[in-house]
Amino acid sequence: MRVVLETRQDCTGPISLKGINLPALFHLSQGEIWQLPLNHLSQPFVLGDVFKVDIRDSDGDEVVLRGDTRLLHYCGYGMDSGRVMVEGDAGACAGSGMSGGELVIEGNAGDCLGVAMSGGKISVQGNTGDWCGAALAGESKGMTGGVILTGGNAGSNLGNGMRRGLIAVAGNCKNYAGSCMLAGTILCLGEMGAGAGVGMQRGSLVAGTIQSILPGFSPAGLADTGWLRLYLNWLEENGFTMPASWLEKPPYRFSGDHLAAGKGEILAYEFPQ
Amino acid sequence: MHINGVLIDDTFAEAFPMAYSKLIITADTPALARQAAQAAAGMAISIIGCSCESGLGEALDPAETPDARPGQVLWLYSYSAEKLEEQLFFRIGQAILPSATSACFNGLDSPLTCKPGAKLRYFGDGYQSSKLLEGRRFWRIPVADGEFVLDESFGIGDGVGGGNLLLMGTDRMTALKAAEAAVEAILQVPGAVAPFPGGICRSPSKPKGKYANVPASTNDGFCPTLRSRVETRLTPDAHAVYELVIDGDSLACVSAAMAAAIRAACRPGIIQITAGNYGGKWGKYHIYLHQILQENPA
Repeated sequence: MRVVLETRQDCTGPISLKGINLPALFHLSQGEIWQLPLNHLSQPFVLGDVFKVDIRDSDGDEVVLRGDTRLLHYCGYGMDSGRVMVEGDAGACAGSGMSGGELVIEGNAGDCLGVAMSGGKISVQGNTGDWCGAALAGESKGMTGGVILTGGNAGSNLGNGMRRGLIAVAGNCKNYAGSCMLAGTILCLGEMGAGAGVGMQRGSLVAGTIQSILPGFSPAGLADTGWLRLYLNWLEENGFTMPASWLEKPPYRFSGDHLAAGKGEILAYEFPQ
Repeated sequence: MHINGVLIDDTFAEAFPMAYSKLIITADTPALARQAAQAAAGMAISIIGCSCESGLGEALDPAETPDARPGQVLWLYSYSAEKLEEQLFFRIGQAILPSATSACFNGLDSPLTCKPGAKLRYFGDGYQSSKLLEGRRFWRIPVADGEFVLDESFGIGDGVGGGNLLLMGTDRMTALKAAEAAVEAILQVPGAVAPFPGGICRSPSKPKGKYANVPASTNDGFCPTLRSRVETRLTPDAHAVYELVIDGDSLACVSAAMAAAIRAACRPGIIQITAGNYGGKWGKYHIYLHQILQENPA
């Protein structure tokens, strides 16, 4: 079944999908979907006031969000199965609290993509905002599982407090990637901004280039790429084009942050000498 | 039944259920991967003596392995899932881990798994770490040429062990050449292994013997030097016998490998091909030679 929700043209303010379990729509009739309550302009509405609803037979189960999708926050919030496709940009907090299924965003994603995520897969063809895969405000743990793939660039505090899972960024990412990271893996094929890995306890940051290495990190020679090859192989199978040089030479390794547990690592192919 | 003038005995091989795992061993070069696999397969000849039987499978291209390096398939068989886990722990730890540049991955998707990697990680002495990719946990164990990476869990499948053939020849060299050709045919069947040295056994056995505490003893009926002292199974002009033992990931696999081996071994100088059984009392599977030849045409 394919459920298409298209924003009505008169919608101009933010729409929160926090209360809508999108994969659960497959079990509802058009009328029932129409009557689902949601929050728009901080006022209570029903879904039919904001979206045109279209249901069609399809090979697989999929929810499609289209129209002015920049207004949609919490797309795929809490989803545990199925597939949600955003045909355009997504607002903030897409995929937050997600535990399974697949969320595909054809444009850019706002801040807080995949916060408190514990499973499933998010693919963003464009850029992502700040705090991607990070911890909710007031929480110490960021994402605890799952995969976030970004075709463009990522904002700051990527994977802040991350506990488990994989974030891969095809472009660059801003400052403080992997800050206070507990474990997990962040790959950035381009340049990683300043302050990467600050306060990280365990886990791996991998960067094509890194802007700076914090004093809490120690040089640890050339890295063994055994585990990294597993990830690169997997990413290639999932549509990421890896730089040829990554497969030909090992990156440099820095261990740290020794101001925290110091069991983490930064692997960088280029770094400031 | 005769093939190329060779008598195919109207009998059956008695085979047994076995637990098995498929390992993918990778390294920086194909030679290193094969070397590690051969080391891990060392003396896994017969479960009678070492609880394990093994054989090398196909060499893998980098495109076929999890870490995009050259690989080698290794099959391990044992008589229970518990024993197999012991053997995986022992053989990965003693043979694959020390092999230069090696890594070891699970090659079998199965609902039943064991976790040798969860124990082997302790070799890391607290410096080990893990990576979890799509629910699959890999351990990174620091070693002196970098890191040894291995899967935590390995699948366990329901296989079949003990498929066998006995080739009777007019002389030792003739029988040996036929056995070598048969082993080559066996190894062409995906999932089949011939665990004996070179795939060939010169010492077919029977269960127990005249001495207490001996689990197996020589199968006297096939020994040419005992021809006049025991009830011989040899034809008058047979002077050498080689046994082929075959394990596989299914009954169909073992049957296909046996049929291929029979056809390959039917050459001048081979008098008769038969199979070992215990009267049908021990083994769950009875693999009839005539039947498998009909079911697996050339």
